[in-house]
Amino acid sequence: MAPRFLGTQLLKGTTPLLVLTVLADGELYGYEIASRIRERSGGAFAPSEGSLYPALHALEADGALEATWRTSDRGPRRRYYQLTERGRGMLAESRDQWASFVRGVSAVAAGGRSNG
Amino acid sequence: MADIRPTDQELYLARVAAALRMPDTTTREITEELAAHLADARDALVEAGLTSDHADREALARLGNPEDLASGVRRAHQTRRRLATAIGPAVGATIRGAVVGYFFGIGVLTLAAILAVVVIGLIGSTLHLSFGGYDTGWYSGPVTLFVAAYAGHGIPRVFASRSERWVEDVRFPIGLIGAIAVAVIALFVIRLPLDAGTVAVLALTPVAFVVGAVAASDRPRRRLPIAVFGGLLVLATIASVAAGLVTARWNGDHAFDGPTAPSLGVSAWDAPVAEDAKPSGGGLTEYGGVPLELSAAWDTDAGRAAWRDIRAEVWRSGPPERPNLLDSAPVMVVAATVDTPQWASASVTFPKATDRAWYRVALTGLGPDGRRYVLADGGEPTKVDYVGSAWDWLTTR
Repeated sequence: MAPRFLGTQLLKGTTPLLVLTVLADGELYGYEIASRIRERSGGAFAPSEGSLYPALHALEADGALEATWRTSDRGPRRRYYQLTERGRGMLAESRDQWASFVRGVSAVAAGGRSNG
Repeated sequence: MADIRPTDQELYLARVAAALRMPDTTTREITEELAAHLADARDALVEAGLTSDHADREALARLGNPEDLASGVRRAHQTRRRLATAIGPAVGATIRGAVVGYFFGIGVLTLAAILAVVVIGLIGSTLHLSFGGYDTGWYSGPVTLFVAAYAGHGIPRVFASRSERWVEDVRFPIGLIGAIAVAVIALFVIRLPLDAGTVAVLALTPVAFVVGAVAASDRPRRRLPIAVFGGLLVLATIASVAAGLVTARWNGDHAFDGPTAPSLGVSAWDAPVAEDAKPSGGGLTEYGGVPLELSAAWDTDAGRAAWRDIRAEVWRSGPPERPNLLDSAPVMVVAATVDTPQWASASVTFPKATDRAWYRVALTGLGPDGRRYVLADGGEPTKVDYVGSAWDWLTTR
């Protein structure tokens, strides 16, 4: 079994990519973003809800997201996030980096298995 | 009686708010967003079958430690870019504060002047003071300090708001950095005609800036407390009356005691010399110029030759309305040159000294009887300002 910290550390670095990815489909508020990531991963993982908001606010400060307060028929008003043009560019770049990273890690991991 | 204890969620959000150390409006938005998140999470957990209490606890647990959450959000907001973009508005706030300080200072001092006149009217006979006009010349000092204090006070709130920080987290660094900048300008850059009072005000300007900056706080902006305003007014009034007393005493001590300015010596016209040895011309050329040129002319070569050791003398004196000499000897003498057999002149360059402002000058010479006579009198006192920076003034011996 892999060490537990490995999954947590990996996930921390990928939170911005996951957030940008789910927001590519349209605007969402914080809880929806966490739920959408959990759903898409088949419940395998979701960013810690405590690290989600720092990531959202950092992406907003970077100009990747725009936030708007909206009232809803049920519950309190919510802060909706949507991608900006800059955010779309960052998403494309992050996807490329992630693909490259996965290829590299896979190559190393595969080599390790063949030697073991 | 209703239970008014805060809920776990309220306590959690209060801890987040306290740890954020960000402006109120931003803090409110962040805690509102988290409250909405907790409500959604709780509803989802209840739908999933948890009890209400369990769902509340689980929702809070998923958000994690409130201080860690606040720290992460704060780092996301307090970026260097925001810090850089806060500089422009902060400079604008400084200028606005300085303008407000100027008018506020003028207002306080004018009110104090009115009160001082009333006070002098009431107790003037006891203090041997009479009101004969009001000298507002000394106002420039306090007004400068008001300007510096208000300029300092204006920055932290705007800078904190724009950089998403607490005023109390930025006011000390701003006070320190601002005071250094103000000190450099006040002590080294500004060049003015200086006296001790002006130098003292310039030296106190950075202190006033710091006081203004440190007085800024995160609490809602309040008008100047009545007690502070009243204290300023009383101080200014006392200063006004005291300034009147000092001026009256100074005037008394240095009252002009004659219908004409006291002589700098016996005139050459009263010397036991031949008629042609009495100067036929001369005096100050380029009156008021620096250096001053003093000269004397004679009709004959023999007339000029009757005088020895011709020199310019510089005497400390009061201003034109009080031209009494302040010393029993000149503070400076400059040997004259004999330009032609009938013409002698001397050029006086005043020393850059901090304690002399008004001078009287004369060209004198030793007569055949060995006494010194005034060949040409420079007339009314000449004001020689110390023009330079406060630092120059402070370091001039």
